[in-house]
Amino acid sequence: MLYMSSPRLDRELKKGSAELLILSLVEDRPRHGYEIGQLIELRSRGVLHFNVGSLYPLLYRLENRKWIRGRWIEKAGQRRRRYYRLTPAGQKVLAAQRNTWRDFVGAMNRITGVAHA
Amino acid sequence: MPPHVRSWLSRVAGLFRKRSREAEMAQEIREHLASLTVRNIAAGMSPEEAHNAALREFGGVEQIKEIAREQRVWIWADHLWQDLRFAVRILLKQPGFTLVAIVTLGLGIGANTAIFSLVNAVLLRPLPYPDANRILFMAEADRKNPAQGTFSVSLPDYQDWRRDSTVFDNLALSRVESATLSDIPGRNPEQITSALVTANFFQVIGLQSKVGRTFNEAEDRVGGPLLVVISDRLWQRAFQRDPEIIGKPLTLQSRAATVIGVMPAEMNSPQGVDAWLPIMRRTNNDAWVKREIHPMLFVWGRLKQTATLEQALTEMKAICARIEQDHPDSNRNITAAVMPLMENMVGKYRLNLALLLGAVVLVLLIACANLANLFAARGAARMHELAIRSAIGARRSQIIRQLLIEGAVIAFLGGVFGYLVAFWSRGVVTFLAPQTLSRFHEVTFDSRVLLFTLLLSGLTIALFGLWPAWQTTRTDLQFALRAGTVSDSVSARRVRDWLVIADLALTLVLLTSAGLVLKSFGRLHRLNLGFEPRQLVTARVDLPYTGYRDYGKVLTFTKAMLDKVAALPGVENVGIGANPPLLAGWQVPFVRTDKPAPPPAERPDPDSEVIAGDYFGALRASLLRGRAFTDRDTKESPNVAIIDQTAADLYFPGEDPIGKQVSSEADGDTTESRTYEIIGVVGRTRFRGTDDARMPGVVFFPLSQVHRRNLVLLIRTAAPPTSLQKTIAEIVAGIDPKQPVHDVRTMSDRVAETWATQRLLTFLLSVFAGLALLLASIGLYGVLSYNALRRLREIALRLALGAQPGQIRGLIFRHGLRLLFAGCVVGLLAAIAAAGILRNVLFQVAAIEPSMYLLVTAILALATAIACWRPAARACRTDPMVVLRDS
Repeated sequence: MLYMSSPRLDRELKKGSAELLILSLVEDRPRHGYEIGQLIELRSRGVLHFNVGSLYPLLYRLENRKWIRGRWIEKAGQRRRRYYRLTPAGQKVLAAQRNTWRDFVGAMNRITGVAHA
Repeated sequence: MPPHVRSWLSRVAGLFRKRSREAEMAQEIREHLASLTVRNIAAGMSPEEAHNAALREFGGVEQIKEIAREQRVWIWADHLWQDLRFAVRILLKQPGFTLVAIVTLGLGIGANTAIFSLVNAVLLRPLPYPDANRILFMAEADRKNPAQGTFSVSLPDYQDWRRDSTVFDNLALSRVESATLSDIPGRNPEQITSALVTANFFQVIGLQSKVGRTFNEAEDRVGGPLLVVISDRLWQRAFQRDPEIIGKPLTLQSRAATVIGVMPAEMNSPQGVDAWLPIMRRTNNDAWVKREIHPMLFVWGRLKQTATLEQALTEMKAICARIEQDHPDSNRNITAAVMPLMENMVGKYRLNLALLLGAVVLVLLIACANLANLFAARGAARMHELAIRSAIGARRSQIIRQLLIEGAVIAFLGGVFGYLVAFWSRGVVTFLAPQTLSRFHEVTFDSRVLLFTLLLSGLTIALFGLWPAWQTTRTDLQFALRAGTVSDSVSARRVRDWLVIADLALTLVLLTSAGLVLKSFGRLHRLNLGFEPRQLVTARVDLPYTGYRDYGKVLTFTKAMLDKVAALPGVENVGIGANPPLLAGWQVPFVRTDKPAPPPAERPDPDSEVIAGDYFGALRASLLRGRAFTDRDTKESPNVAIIDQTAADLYFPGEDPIGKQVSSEADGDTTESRTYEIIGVVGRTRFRGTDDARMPGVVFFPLSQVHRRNLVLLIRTAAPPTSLQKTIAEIVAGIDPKQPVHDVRTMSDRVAETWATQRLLTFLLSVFAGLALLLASIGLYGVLSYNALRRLREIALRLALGAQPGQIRGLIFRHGLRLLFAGCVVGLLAAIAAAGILRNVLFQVAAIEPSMYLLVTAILALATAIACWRPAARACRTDPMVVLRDS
């Protein structure tokens, strides 16, 4: 799925963080699957690479839970694509997951003595 | 809504939008691949290289689709749906097989559902009273002779029970009477069933009046007001639910009672009662205060919440033991008979219904055995198809699942068909059922019956589906694919044979049971009743005491009625009886004056009958010795009596009873004991139903000398009762306009009613046995045909080597006979084991009858011969050249 250069990242952490990544990426505006995959790599400056095979199962899972909603859109000059955007329920989940992540990272930093960037 | 619920709902929706979702997913992935390809081309690759690189980067498309699919639907549900659609398609391609399977199973399930619906209505459905299992019904019984049954309670005994018992919240008393209801505007007088009850009777039942109130203890006393509570049925029928009913007068037995309440529709205790009146007003009579008199009083109790039935039984027996000690003359050996109200109402039907349920279960097992063989044969025929599926990756569990789903479709459709069969046949069942219990006629196909049908259908999948599915997939499918055929394993042959043996054994049990019950019913029919019930019309006329206090009026009325009815065309004989056959139930003390009187508890108490007119002529009862009553036997002449041969044998063994004197308190208006001279003996007359083991003999008194007012007109005529009913009513109305006639039926109907339970059992068992025979024969035919087909090559070889057709025929018949022999041996053992249960429902027929077993074996042998015939004939016509060449 999502991997870092270090193989020691926890499986549960990966799964939870993948959901957080996708929800936050579709917060601003609707995006399609290819764009989401590209953005993760771009914004992480190549540190995080999304395994495509896991992307669509995850998107469908989030869609089942009604956290995101997919719609087919044909933009001018572009191919018809399925865009995903955040739902109000997804908004709440995103906020909660951000807080959890923030607390987790803060706690890790305090313990390990890593300074906040 | 919680996320997991949303997810669940989305997956359910996914099952029904599968096609559109698949298309969406495919397009989405195509678009992603296209984007990767465009990026790769922009990076300098050729289109072909770019596309391949995109595919490599994306990964296995179908595998990813499968994983993605799992997020949108439940895969197991998706596979199930596919298997279901495939099963329906496959079954539709074989309509003959499918129809036979559905009908076979449907008949088995339908029979079970029909009987279960009866069991549900009669035995399982609770009484419509609050906490009904705490209501107990009590009578008295002879503890030394419990087989003699129960009898009513004496008033002093009831009073002692009420004083001494501690386990009941309330102990109430009841007495059922027929009452004339008259003076209703616009309605003729009619006869209704009323009950005298204590005020706390309604607390025992637990229902409150829906309009008005019930009477209280202060009102239920000697000299108290004549109040009446009526049923919802009567309120509807006679008063059109008049809202002003409370306080209105009701003329019952020519006396004005005031209506104070209406009970709700579910109140049906005692059964069939339309009016409840206070009982204690009637207790100031000489008879009721005597402990040895049991004037049709019965006791009802509501157990305390903390008490159990066992505690009640123990306590009541102890109370009766104390009474017996204090009053040995009247209460010797008398104990309380205590049972839940439900048991009192339906207990005697339990065994018959259990037998019927057992019979239909056997029929279902036979049907399932047939289906198992049918499915196994079908599985073998589909071996090639299954082998291909296995070759392209289907696991054994998937193939078994597919085969089981086909079985489930048959089971479901069989269940639906069975439910409909049961529903349509309910009219026949209720027609044959006893009329005395209203619960038999309240059969509904409610949710419990539906659930039963569904569960049974589900169970049959296991019974007929598992073995064939397992057996079919056990074979080496790869070998079958290469060889193009599959060999018949020994174990499969053996199971097939044993299924047919089981069929035959169960059929033998059912046929012998049906045969014995049929024979028993025949005995009942031919039973010498001592009178001729055919062409004998009966009609009840209950003269109210208040209008006929002067007994001379009773005699004037009855003479006029007899004369007028005798003059009707077609009437051969007419008589009157107070307690004729099957309407009996009045016993009287009977003490010989020429011998020392035994203590009251040990006195003989034969059934008493009070007669007028040509009673014996109407009954066609034979006068054996002495004379009948005449017009000269009046109030002023010496008291006379006639007895039947049973009473003569019991009370005058080895003597001529003519001229002997007996004393009896037979009169309905007084407890005074009088002496009667025996002037005649009539043939043995069966006054009680065949379900009553007691035969205490009958003593007849003349109506002119012994007072009775509840009378039954007995008319020997060829005319049907419907034509007579109006005429009799007009004759009676001509004598007394306020007097109704009711319950006009032929004596044959009354006799048939006493057999109603046996009639139902006999009819249904015979139907089920016939069904079992048909199914077993079909099963046997199927197995023999199938075996002949599997042995076709062997048969062809034999014929080619010089075997005669007779020898081939012998092969098939020998196989059939082996199955028959094994089936009969197992069946006979099972039938002998079942004899113990059957014994309790047979009348004058032994439960183990070798002649019956021989007859049934002969029937099965005939069925076997018929089942063998066609397969044997087909096998003989085999062309060995064709078969050997094709194989």
